[in-house]
Amino acid sequence: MREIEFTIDTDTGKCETNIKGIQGPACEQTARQLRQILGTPTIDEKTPEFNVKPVAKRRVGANE
Amino acid sequence: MSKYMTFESQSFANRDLLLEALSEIGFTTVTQGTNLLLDGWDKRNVRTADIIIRRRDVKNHNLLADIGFQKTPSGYVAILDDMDLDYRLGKDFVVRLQNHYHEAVARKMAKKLGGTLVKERIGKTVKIRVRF
Repeated sequence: MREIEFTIDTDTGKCETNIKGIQGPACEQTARQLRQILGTPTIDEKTPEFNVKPVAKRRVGANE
Repeated sequence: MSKYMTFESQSFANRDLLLEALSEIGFTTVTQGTNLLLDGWDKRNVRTADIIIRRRDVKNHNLLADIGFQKTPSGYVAILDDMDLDYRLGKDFVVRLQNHYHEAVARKMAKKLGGTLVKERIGKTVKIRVRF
């Protein structure tokens, strides 16, 4: 499931966004759309998940 | 697969969403143009703006000066009279506007991405999840 989570601190007006479940360029495209309407972020970082590459698992049979 | 950004600026990048946020806090009559003169400011300190809430249009607030929003490279920045902020609008005026603006951003993104929006309030924090 792809998701954008907005966390708004109503005391300070600060807004944190977290884009989840979108890979590489598509994630950057969503981030660009957010920057267009929210302006320049003070913090802009990829989370550790961003660089996780899918690993193909090799099935090991019973007779190997 | 994931990206984290924080936005703290008190400028508003999108005109339509700013107007939506202003409407939500009760300012529905807005004058728009380019470098329009703000009324109520000292003649030695003439100010101009591109979006204006005329004090004559919000008489119930008894404002000393018009509220303006001037377009800058980073977005629209509020021009407010200090006395109005202290005694009429409330010192948290811009923060309240930011909060409504951010919620409008979430709604816009949900619509743009064809997603669903779930809003939850936990104390002073508003959490909005847009799933698509």
